[in-house]
Amino acid sequence: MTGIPDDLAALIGQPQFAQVSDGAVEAGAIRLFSAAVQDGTPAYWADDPAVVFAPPALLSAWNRPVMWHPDGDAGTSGLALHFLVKDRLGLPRAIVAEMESEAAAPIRPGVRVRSEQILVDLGEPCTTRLGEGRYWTIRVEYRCAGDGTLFGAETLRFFGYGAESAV
Amino acid sequence: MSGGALPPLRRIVSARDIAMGAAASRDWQPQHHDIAYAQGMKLPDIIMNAPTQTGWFHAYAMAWAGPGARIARWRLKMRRPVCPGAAIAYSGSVLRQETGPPGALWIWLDLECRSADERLSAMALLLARPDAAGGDCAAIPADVWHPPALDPA
Repeated sequence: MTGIPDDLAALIGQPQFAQVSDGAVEAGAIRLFSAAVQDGTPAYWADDPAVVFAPPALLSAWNRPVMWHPDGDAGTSGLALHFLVKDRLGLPRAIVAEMESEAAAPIRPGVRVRSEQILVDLGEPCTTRLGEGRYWTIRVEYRCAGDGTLFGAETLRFFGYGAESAV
Repeated sequence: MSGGALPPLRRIVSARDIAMGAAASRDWQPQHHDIAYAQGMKLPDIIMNAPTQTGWFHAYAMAWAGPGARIARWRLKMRRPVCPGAAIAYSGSVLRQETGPPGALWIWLDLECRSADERLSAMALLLARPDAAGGDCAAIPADVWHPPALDPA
C-alpha cells in the first residue's frame, strides 16, 4: 500500500474516541504514584484539596480504563486511534519513536478527565533499521470533563512496521 | 544559570518500583509485572513503563527546583529498558533560563538516566520556578501560563 488511504486521510485533524475517565481524580491515587516515584513535591501530598494537584506524569493515566468493571465494560485500549491506524495499515508492530507532553492547568481531585485523540499526520512508506513501515503522529488532549479546561496534551510519534507485504 | 549541573542521584531499581509505578499509573500491560511475558518479548526482565520513568525524572527535577516549581513541558526518549537490579544514576544540566510569567522563571533542563556504561533514557524538560522565595507557580493563572517550546530534538 502506498499513499495515504482515504479513510485515514479523512481522520487527520479530526478528534476521535472521546472518552471520560471512569472515576474522578482523587488524592489517594496521587499519593500512591508520588510514593512510587519518590516525589516529595508538597502539592502532591497536601491534605487541602484546594492545594493538591496531580503529578503531570499521570496526565494519561486517568483515562486508562480499569481492567474489570461490574457492568462488564472494561479493558478497552486507551489509545484506540493508534491501534486503528496500525490495524488499517496492516502493521503488526509499532514503537513510540518520540513522546512530548505539555502540562496546562493543574489537575485537582474531584474532576473527571475527558480525552480526545487526533491523528496529526501519517507518512508515506519508508525504511528504517526496523524495516519498512510508516510514521504517524497522534496528539491526545486531556480536558476537564466539566468545563473543558485544557489539562495538557501528549504528542506521540509512532513507527509501525512488520508487515508481511509492502506497506 | 546556564550550564549549571544538577547533583547526581543514584538508585537501585527494584521489581517493586516497576510494578508499583505501573499499577499507580493504571498500566496493566504484562511486561511491567510478568517476567515470563516480558522475556517472551525478548526483554531481559520486566521493564519500567513510560509514566514511571517520567515520574522519576520529574521527581529528580522538582527536588532540585525546590518549593513552588511546576512542570511545563517534557520530551522523553527511552533508549534501553530499565529493569530490576539496575544501578542507575540521574544527572542533568541547566540549558538556559528566561523570564516567565509574573513571579516565575522558565528553566530548560537536559536530563539523563544512565546505568554503568550506557544511557537508558533522556528527558528534555521545561519547568517554571519562582523567582523569589515563597512563590508558587501552581498559582499562575491559565491566561498567563504559556510555556515556550522545548529545544528541537
